[in-house]
Amino acid sequence: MIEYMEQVSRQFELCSGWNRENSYENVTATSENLLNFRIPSALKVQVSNNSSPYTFTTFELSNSKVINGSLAYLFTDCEGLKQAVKGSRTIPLQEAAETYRHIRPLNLSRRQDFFIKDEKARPGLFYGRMYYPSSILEAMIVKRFSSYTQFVMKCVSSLSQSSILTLYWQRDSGQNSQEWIFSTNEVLFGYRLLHNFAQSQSKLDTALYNNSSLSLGAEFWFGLLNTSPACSTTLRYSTHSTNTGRPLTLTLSWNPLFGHISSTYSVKTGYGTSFCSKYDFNLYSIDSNLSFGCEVWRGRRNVLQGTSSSDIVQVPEYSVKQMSDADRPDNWNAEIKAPMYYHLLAAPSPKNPDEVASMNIESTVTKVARPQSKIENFARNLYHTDFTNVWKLSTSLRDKNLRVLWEGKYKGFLLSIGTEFTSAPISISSNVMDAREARAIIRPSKFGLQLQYSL
Amino acid sequence: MSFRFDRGTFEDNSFNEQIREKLTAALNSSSSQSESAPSQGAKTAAKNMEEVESETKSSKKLDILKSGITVRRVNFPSIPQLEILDLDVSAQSKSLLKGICKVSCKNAMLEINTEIEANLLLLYTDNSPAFTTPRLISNDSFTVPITMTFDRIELEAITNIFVKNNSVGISFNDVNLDFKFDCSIKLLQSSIEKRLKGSMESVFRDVLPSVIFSMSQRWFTHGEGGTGAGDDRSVFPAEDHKRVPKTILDESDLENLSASNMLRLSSLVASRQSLSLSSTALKTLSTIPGCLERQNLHRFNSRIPALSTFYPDYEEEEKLMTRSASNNVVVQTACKEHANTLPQRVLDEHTYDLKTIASVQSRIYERSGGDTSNIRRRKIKIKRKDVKTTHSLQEEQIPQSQSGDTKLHLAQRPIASDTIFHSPQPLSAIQSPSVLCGEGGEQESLSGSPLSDIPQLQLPATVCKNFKNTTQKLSLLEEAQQLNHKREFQKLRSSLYSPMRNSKFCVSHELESPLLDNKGLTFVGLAQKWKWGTEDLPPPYAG
Repeated sequence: MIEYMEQVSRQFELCSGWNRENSYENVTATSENLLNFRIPSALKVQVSNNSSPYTFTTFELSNSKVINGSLAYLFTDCEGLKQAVKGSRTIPLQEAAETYRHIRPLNLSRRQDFFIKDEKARPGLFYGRMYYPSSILEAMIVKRFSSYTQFVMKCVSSLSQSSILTLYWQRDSGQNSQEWIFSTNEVLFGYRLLHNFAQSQSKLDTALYNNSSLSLGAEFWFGLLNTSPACSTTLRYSTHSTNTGRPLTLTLSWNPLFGHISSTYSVKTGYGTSFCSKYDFNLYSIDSNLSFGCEVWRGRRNVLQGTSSSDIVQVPEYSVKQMSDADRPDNWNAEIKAPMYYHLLAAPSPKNPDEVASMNIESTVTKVARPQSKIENFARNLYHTDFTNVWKLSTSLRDKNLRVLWEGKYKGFLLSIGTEFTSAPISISSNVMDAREARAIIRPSKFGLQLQYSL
Repeated sequence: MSFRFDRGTFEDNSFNEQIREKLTAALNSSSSQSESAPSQGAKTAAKNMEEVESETKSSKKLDILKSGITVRRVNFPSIPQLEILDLDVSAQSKSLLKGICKVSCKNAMLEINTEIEANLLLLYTDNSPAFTTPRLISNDSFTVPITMTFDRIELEAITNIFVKNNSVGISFNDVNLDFKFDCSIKLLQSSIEKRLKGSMESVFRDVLPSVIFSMSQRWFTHGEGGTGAGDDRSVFPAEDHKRVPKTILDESDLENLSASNMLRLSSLVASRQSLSLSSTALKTLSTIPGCLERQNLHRFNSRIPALSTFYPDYEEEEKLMTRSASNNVVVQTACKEHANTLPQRVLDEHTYDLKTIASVQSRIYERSGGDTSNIRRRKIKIKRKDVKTTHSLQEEQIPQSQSGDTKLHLAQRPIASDTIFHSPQPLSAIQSPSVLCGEGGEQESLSGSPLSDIPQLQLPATVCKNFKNTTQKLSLLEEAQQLNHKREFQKLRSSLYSPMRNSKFCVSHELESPLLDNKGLTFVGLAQKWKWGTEDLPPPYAG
């Protein structure tokens, strides 16, 4: 479950025209969401409020060992954020939960209208959070400097530990996304780069509607205090199945320092299901690991009228219930029209001159139209499906664990219940013999419930 | 107190095996306490921990150990040497035994195996708050097995061992440790070796003593558990390359001890506690003539004939003063000089008895001189001219009255004649005391003093009466002698029969012969039922 403040900051990036996905940090976000989803470890209650057009507050109580809580304030001068941030009652579940990320292919021509209209406007975000009774202070400042650059400062200040300040300088030109990072924790320096290869749709006349994207990224880290370097490089390919129009993502990461290779394959197999597999292999130690993760979404699906084309998307087995526009909230239609970032596909409108030009060959029109409509249909139907809950499961062969998470909406509350069963001992046992015996027992190592309500 | 260094445990291979097991257990128990980093299974979970949790746990120490430590090989080819340089069994209740030992161990070998996390950055990102930590892609853990071999371990240490009632304390004074270190990761070898040698000092200064102390406390208080005493003892030195004497005695220990040694020890303890140097046991201290323990010296001194000891009532004040001044009365009184002087008070109050003084003097003379020479006593009459002739006559007569028994003829002559009997009423006692105090213990010095300073003899009325009633054979001085004899006897008995001792006394030789009449000493024995063990402290000697 994405927390309210995270939701607000993501919406801020969306409103200010910053593509969060176009960053090396999130290059494997899909597989991370499907495999290593966050499981709450305690009872946690969050009440959030949009107190004024520019301020947001969150109050949180949790009982990990002792009762503690936090108080968070957020101020932004970005216009229109109040409308973009939805309360827990109205937010679609697929937006409130971390799930499969749809990668938007690079389209240089379309980039302009995505950016902020007013070049002069440099919206900023100020966020502060205080934990008690541990008296830890979190602060974050996000400031846009130009349409290509953004500055992020995060810091944690506490009495018991050393305070940490982390600075990000991000530059995103669409095709290239660069990031310079400095953190006072271990004096860590970092550089991240993500390059999107430009599409050449018109080279092959017979090419189908191309919505795939290929990205290559790398990161370099160096901790000055511990003199430990780290680096990795990742290749990501994201496309859609032409037959069914369902998206799939492949990534291949390589850590040359430690010889670690991991490949992931994530696919959205249906409206309500996603599947991810990940294979890790170490060149030096010949260690390997195979992980699986899946999501099952449940709820009512709404196929919009008028979009039903000749190729009717395969309806999942569960019952489909029509939902008229009248049942929707008032802002529903407006949101559909608005360029939604998460579920934005490559389907441009025919008004787009570039697209028209590229598809102007009469023979290819039908060729392109079919998969395009399929993909569009899938996306639209997915977006309009009114899910009520989702089951997430993941397991790993080496770790021998099973992670289960249920997220759903109940009477305006966003609920998240999860547990992790593990067979490996949490702490290394003192005796080797004991450790082997303990390994045989599968027990829940973690259990938690998170409750979220926001207005 | 006894301990045994069992060589047998070192000779077969079980010793090495025991060390290996114990070391593995010890290394893992210490590491698991400090182990805060979750294992592989929880690693992924830890990454996604709640922010609050990750912030609270970030204060914990980083640990690069990914698994337990296993001790692969241990080899002690030679038996470790233990040399006791000094052993002090003190009688104080706090510490039972103090010893200085030299421990040496040669050419030992140790091989340790574990796994470490090579990806240090992963550790730091896992242990810092998630809010400020940037997410790294493909930053998985990379464990590397590491083998450390300690070869040719040479240890030589001088240790101070304190064995107390319920614990063993050890301090290492002079430690020489040398080993060859070999690490499977050559990159880390030099740095690890440097750190190891640096930390060795603290190990021997703080860690080992505290470990041994707590371990010994556990043994002494909670018993041995299922393992035998010999087993534990052999394991204990193995673990820290140190040997500690075990102070628990059980039946098997007593069986292995030499019987003659134990007998000798027990008789020593018995004599220490009871002051009895029993003559029945051969080759003991009691058979040595004239042997005296220092603790009994004050008692011996008190029986040496001197003027001061003869008036114990007047001495009492002084004793009380010393008692209050210092806590150790025994030493004070023992070291006190027994000057052959009359106490000041005696002279002031004119309570001295001429006969007693005379007897004391005669006895001093006997002790110092041989049997051959006879005592000579000169009597000087002052202001009496007619006595002068008899006085000279008396001087002539003294040599004639020599006989075997010197005591009886000590001053027979002057007493026998009525005329030279000193009058009961002293004429001038005023001028006497100072001179008497200053004179030596010998008769010769007395005779050398000015004549006018000789005090007037004062005869108590009872003695005077006795003298008239008894027969002429018993002289006055002889009477006094007998009186003294009895008195001294009683005094001795009363001093020995202190309420603290309820055991029976055997007073030997007292009844047959007068006290201290021969050159050899008489020993007062005490047949006490002594007990083996050090928990019974000897009774205080302050009589």
